[in-house]
Amino acid sequence: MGEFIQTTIGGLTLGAQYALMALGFSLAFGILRVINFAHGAFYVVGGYLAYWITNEVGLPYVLGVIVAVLGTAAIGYVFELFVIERRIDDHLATIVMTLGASLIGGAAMLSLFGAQAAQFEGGLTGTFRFGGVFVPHARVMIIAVAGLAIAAVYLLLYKTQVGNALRALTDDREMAVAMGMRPKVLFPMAFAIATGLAGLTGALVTPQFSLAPFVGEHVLMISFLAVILGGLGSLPGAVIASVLVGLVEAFVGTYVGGSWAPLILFTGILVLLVARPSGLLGHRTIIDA
Amino acid sequence: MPKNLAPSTTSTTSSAVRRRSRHVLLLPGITLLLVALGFFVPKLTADPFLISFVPTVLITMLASMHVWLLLRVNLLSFASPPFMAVGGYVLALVATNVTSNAIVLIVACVVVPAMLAIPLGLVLLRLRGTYFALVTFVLAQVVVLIVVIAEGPLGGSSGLSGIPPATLGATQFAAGGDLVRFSVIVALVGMALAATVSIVWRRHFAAIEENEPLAASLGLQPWRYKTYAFVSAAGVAGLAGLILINQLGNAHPDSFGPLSAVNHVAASVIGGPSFLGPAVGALILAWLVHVFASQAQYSQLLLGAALILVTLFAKRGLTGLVVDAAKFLARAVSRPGPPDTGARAEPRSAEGDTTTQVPNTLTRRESVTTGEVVLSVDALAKRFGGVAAVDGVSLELRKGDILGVIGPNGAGKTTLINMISGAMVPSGGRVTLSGKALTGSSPQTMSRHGIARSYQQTSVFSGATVRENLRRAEAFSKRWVSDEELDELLRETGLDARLDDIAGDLPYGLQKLLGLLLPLATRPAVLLLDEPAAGLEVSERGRIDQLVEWAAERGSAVLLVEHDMDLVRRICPRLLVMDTGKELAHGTPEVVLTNPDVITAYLGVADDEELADIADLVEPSVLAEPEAGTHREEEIHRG
Amino acid sequence: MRTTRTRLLLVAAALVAGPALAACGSDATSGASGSSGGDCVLKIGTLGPLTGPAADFGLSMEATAKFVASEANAEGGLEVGDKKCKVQVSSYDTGYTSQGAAAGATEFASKGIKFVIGPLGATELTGMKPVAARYDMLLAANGFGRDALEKKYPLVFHLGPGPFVWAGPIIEAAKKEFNFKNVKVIAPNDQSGDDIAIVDEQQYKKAGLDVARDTYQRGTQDFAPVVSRLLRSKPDLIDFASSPAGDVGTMIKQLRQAGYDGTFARLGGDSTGEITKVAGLNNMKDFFYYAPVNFGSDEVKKIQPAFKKATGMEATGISLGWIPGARTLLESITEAGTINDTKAVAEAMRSHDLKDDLLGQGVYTGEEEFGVNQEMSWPFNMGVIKGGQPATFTQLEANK
Repeated sequence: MGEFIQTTIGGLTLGAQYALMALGFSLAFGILRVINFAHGAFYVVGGYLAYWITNEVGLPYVLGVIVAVLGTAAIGYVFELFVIERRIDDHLATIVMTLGASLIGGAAMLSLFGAQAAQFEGGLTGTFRFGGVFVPHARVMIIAVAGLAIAAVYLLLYKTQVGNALRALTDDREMAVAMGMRPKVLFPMAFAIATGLAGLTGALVTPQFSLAPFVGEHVLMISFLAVILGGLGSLPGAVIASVLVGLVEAFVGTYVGGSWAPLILFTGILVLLVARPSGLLGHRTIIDA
Repeated sequence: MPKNLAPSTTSTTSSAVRRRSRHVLLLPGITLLLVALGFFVPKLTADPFLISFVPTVLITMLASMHVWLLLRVNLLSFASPPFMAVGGYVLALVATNVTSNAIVLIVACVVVPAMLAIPLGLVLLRLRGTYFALVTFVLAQVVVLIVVIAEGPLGGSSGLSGIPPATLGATQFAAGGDLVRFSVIVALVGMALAATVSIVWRRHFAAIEENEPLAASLGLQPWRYKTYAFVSAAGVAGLAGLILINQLGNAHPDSFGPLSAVNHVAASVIGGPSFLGPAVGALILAWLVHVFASQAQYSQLLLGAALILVTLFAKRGLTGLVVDAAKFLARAVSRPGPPDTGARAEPRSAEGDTTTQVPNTLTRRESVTTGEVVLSVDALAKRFGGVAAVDGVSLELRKGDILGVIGPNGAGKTTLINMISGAMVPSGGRVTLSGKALTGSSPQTMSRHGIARSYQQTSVFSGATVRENLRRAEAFSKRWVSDEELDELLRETGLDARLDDIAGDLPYGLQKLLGLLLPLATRPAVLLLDEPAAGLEVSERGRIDQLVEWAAERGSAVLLVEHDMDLVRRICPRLLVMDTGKELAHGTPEVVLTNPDVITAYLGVADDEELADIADLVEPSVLAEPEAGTHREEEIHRG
Repeated sequence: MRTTRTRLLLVAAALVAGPALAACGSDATSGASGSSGGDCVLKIGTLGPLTGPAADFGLSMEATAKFVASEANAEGGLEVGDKKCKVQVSSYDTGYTSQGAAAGATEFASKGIKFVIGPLGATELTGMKPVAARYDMLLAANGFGRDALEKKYPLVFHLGPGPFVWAGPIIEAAKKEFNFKNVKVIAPNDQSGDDIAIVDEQQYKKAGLDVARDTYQRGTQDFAPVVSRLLRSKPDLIDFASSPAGDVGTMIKQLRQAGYDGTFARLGGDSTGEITKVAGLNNMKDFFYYAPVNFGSDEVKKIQPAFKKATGMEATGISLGWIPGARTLLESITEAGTINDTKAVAEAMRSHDLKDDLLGQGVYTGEEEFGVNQEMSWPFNMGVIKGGQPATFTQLEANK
C-alpha cells in the first residue's frame, strides 16, 4: 500500500514537472501557432544561465533563476521579432527555423560549457517523510512553482487586457491589427513568456536531475507527448495530459520497468489518435476535413 | 482540352514554360550523374573515403527524398528513421534467413515499409500538417523501442550482426566498387519511385502544396494523394535503410535514432523543392559532417544557422537560388533593355469599363419559386465553445435561383458557407443536395456532388499560370464547362490575355476574378460566393453581376454573401439577413431592407450606402466572437 | 505528357548506358598508403563519442592517444626501422553509434591511417570491425560486448581488461569491505548498457549473492519510478554497471532521498569524478568501483602533470588506464619495424611482455570469453569510498 501511495505521489510530482516543462511549449503554440522545436534548447540555456550565475559568478541561486528567466525571455523576444515574425503564417517554416535554433542552442552550450555534466546543486536538499512515503523538498517547490506558473498563464490569457489582445491576434490577425493591436509588440512578448517559462523550468529542474547540453531532448519529447495527448493549443489539455504521462510513467516504471513505460505511452498515444485525432481536449480544427 | 488551354507556342517568355523545359533535362541529368559517379568513381580511384562517401551521400539523399516527397503535399515528416529501420531490418532478416539475392532484397525493402505505411497513413494523414510533424517524431521513438524490446527476432539493443551482403549471381556487393555500384542502383530505384510519383501526380501535389482548401473545394481528395506520397516516401526511406545496413553489415537500433531525422529535414529544406534538392542537401550535409568530423558542434551550429537563413531568405533552397541566379544572368545577358513585364499592355481595361459602368443594364432576375429544390439547409448550427456562430438557419435554393445573404460582421455568414461547402462540420441541422443528405461531408465530397465555392480572400494556385490553374480545376472536378463557355468566361473576366501569367503576379482584382472563375467553370449545381466583390474596384464589380447571371442562366443555384448593398440589390431577388447567427429577415430586398429589425442590426442607419460602409467597420467585439473561429480555421487550412 | 515521356526515355537511356560503359575496364585497386620517402609520419586514429552524453569517455580516449604520441615525439619521434617517425593523431566523432564508427573507419582509411586507438563502446566496435578489416586496420579498442573480440578479426585488441576479468575479483574484495547479500544491477536498455550489466550479474551470482538486473530507458531525467522499482526488493547493494555518469549521479541522489541506506557499486567504465560531481560525496557515502589506476600511487601522481600539459585535460582514471595499452601498440610498431604492415605489428603485440611503468605487469586474457587471447589485462584496482570520505584503492589482478 505504501508503495502504491508512493508511486501515486511520485507520478503526480512527475506530472507537475512535466506540466511546467510543457507549459511554455503549449503557450507558444496556443498563441503564435508555432511549434517550438527549440523549447528543449531554451530549457538547457536556462539551466546553464542559472548554473553560470550560481557557480561561476558566485551569486545566490535565486538570482541565478531570475537571470535564467530574463535571459531566455530576452533571447526568445529577439528570436521572435527578427526571425519567426517574418514567416509567422507559414507553419512548416516556423518549425524548421525553431529546429535550426535548437541546433544552435545545443551546439553553443556544448562549445561554452563542454559535454560533461555540470556540477549544479540547487538550494533545497531535504526530504519530507511520513511513514513509507517521501517527497523531496525540491519537488514540493517545483510543484508549487508549476501551480503558480499555470495559474499566472491562465490569468494572463483570460483575465487581462493583454491576454484578450493576444487571443484576438491568434484568432484573426488581420482583424486584430485593424483594431489597433500590435503584433510586433505582442507576439515577441508572448514568445518571450514561453521561452522564459522554459528557462525557468531549466533553472529549477536541472539541479534536481542533471545539466548537460543534450538534456533538452527529453523535455522536448515530454512537451510533444503532453501537447499531442492534450490537444494542440489547449492549455488545460496539456496540463492534464502531463499529469497523465507522469502517472503512467510512474506506475509502469515501478511495476513493469525497462522500456515498457515509454513504449506504452507512445503506442497509447498513437491509439488515442485513431480514436480522437484532436487529442483529449483539442478542437476539431486540426482534423483534415 | 479547349483550344486556348493548349500549350501556347508563342509564350516563350513565360517562366513556367521555361522552367518546364529545364526540368525535362533535370531528371536524366541527375540520373546520368549518379550512374557516372557510381560506375566510374571505383575505376578512377580506390580511395576508401570516396568509395564510402558515395553510399553515405546516397543514404542521406534517399532519406531526404522521403522528407522531400512529403513536403510536396505540405507535410513535414520526421519519419525517415523509422521507415529506414523497417527497410534495414527487413534486409537483415531476409538476407540472413531467406536469400541475399539483391533483387529480392530491393523489392522487399520497398514493399514492406510501403505496406506498413498504408495503415499508419490512415491514422496519421487525418492530422493537420503541424500535428503530423509531431506524431512522426514520436513514431521514430516507437520503432526504436519496439526493436529494443524485441530481443529475440530483432536482436534487441545489441542489434543483428553478421548480415550477409546482397548478392547477384556470383557478385557480392560487400565492398569497394561493387558496394558503390549496388548502392547507386538502389538509390536510382528510390529516385525512380519518387520521380514517378511526383511526375504522375505533379498537378495534384502542386495544388495541395499551394492551396489545399481550394483544391479540395474543387473536388480533389487531398488524403488520397497524401497517402500516395506517404506510402511511396516510406518505400524510398526503406531503400535508404537497405543501403545503410548492407554497407554496415549489422543492424542496430542506434543507427535509426529519431534525431537523425533532423539531418534529413535539414538536407531537404536546404536543398530546396527542386528534384535535385535532396541530392544537393545530402552532399552539403555529408561534407559538413566530414569537415567537422571531430568537432560536431560546429557542423551543428552551421546547420542550424543554414536552416534559419534558408527559410528566411531562400524559400526555394539552394537549388532555387541557383535557378534564380541563372535566370537573372540569362536576363541580363539576353535583354539589356527594361524587363518584359513593363512592355505588356494592360489587357482590356478600356473594353471592360463599358460593361462595368452600367450596373443596371441587367434586369434583376425574378425569384424562382417553382422547379426542383437543389439545396436545402435545415436548422443548421455551429457552436464554437459555448458560443453559437450559426444558430438554426434554414434556407432553400432552386435551380437558377439567387439568394443574397447579408448581415454585420460576425453574423455567421462565412461559417454558413463553410458548413455547406464541407470546410466545417456543423454542430446541428441538415444539408441536403437534390434529396441527398450531405451534412458534415468533406469539401471534396460536396464538390463531387456539385457544390462549389469561392473565398473571401483571393484563393488561386498562386505559383502556377492562369492556364495551369484552369487545368488543375478541370483535372480535379467531375464536371467542366465546354470550350466555348470557357472562352466566354475568360473574355468576360479579362483573363484571356493573361493565360500564361503566374496567377500570384496578377493584380488583386484579376486574382479575385480567377478565384470566382475556377468554381464557376466546374458547372456547379450550387455556387457559394463569399463576398466576391470585397476588395474589387468599383469598375470591376460589374463583372460579378455578369458572372453570377451567367451561372444562374445555366441552372446553378447561387448563394451570395456580400456587403456591397448595391450589388446585392442589383442581382438578388431574395435576401436572407443574418445577425448573431440567427435569421433576422428573409424576403425581397425592398421588404427586408426596410425591416426595422434589420435597420437596428445595422446600427439604425437606413441609408444603403452608409449601411454598406458601416457594415464593413462595425463590430468592435468581433474578435471575441464566434466568427473569429472560422478565420482561424481557414488559416490553419492554409498553413 | 510529351515532356514526361521524353524524360523517362532519357532516364532509361542513362540507366542502360552507365553499366554498359562501366563494363569496360576493371576497378582501380587500393595502393599502400603511409610513408613514401621524405619525413616519416606515423598517423594514429582515435575515435569515440566526442560530443553527447558519453563524450567524457571519448574525450578521455582521445587524450590518451595524444599523450602517448607526445611521449614518442618528445624523444624525436617513434623509432621505426632506421627512421624516427613523428606521431600524429587524428580524431573522429562517432556520436557513439555503430554507423558513426564505420564512417570513422573509412575516413581513417582515406587518410592512410592503419593504427587506431579506439573505438570506445561495444556498439561502435560492432560497426567498425568489418570496415576496419577491409583495410587491414589494427584496432586497440575498449568495447566489451558479447563478441567484441573474435577469431575472424585478428587485428582487434583490447586496450585493457574487460568486466569479465575485473568484476569477479572486485566483488570478492568488496565482500570483505561491505556487508551485502541482495544485489540489484541497473543499466540502460541498450547494448552499451546491457553488455557489462549482464557480465556483472553473472559474477555476482558466481559469488553466491542474490542478484536481479533491471533496465531503464536511456535519456530518462527523473528516476523516481526507477528508484521505487529498485527499492521494491530491498537490496543492500545497487550496481550501476555502465550507466552514464550523469544518470548514476541522479539515481544516487534520488535513492538517498527515498531513504536507501545501502552500498553503491559501479562495476563499469570508471567515471567516479563525474558521478561525484552530480551526486555529491555525501550522498555516495558507501561506494566501490572498478578503478583502472590507483590515484594514490606515486606513478600516477608523477604522470598527471605531464598528461595535463600534453593534452590540456585533467587525467581521468580511464585515460590513465588506457596508457599502457596504447604504449604497447607504439612499442610493437617499433618492434615490427613497419608502419604499414599491421599483421606484423599485431604479431609483435602478441609477443609483447606487457610490462609497463605505470601499471606494472600485465597478462593477455580473453581466451575463455572470446576465444582469442588479445585482451591486455593490466593490474587494476578497487576504489572504495566509505562514509563519504575520498577514495582509497586496493590493487587486484586477473584471476588465473
